[in-house]
Amino acid sequence: MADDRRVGPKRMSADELAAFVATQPWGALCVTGDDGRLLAVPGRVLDEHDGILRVELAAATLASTFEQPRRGCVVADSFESYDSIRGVIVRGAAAPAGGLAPYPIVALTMARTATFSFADEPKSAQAVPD
Amino acid sequence: MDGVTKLDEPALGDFLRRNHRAFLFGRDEAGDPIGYAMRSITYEQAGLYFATYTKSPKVRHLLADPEVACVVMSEDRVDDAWPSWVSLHGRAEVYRPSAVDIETMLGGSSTESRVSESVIAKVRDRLLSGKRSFIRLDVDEVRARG
Repeated sequence: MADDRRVGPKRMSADELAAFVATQPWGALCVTGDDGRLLAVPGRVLDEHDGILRVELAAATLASTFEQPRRGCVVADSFESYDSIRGVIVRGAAAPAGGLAPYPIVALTMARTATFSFADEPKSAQAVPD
Repeated sequence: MDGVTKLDEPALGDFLRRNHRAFLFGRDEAGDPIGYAMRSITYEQAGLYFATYTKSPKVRHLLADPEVACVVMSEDRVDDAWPSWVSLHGRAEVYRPSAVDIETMLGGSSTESRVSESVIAKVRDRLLSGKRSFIRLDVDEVRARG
């Protein structure tokens, strides 16, 4: 995301990440489907407890794909203004956690988490997001 | 599968040219999904265009394995209603565009009120210098829409 790697977006603190997740940000989940191809659908982060991120999906006719555990990645962000872009990228094991088709819920183990935030960056240090 | 939406369907092109909020996924070194929050530039002839840093990890991943999935989402939802969206599958080509390509693509991008002219000028300069590259997602299938 960074324009210059020395002055790119900052990482969120644990408190900032918790506050971001509490806004139930929108994003998408991607898994490898039964056919071996990548499959991405929209999602909304519901909450996070003990390193498990719950995400509600708009899976439409693809809901059955999310009825079994798979490796997955969730990306969610907010872009209310250019100066306040925030987001999270979470990778781990995605398992079904309820919900009804076409809106299943998936629980994603937060094995690897990366965050980015341009909020509160001084103008001179802000980068161009990609 | 959606199985209904054709790549040349005018409504699909209209949606992808008007909506720029995108979540692009490829594979990491282990072959697992890895994703990025992106802003698309435009959609032309079954190609969805992005600009990114040439030295970014995503470029490395896409060069190693060009298979991609992508969700493009509208931002005009009301209250808690789900936004309109489309799920795409295809292959990514990363390349350094010509000056003409840059002007064509940036000129074809619909207005985004949150991205100022100065930001677009920076993107243009960095594309010209090679610091940024284009990603063209060659869409081979619309997996689903909502």
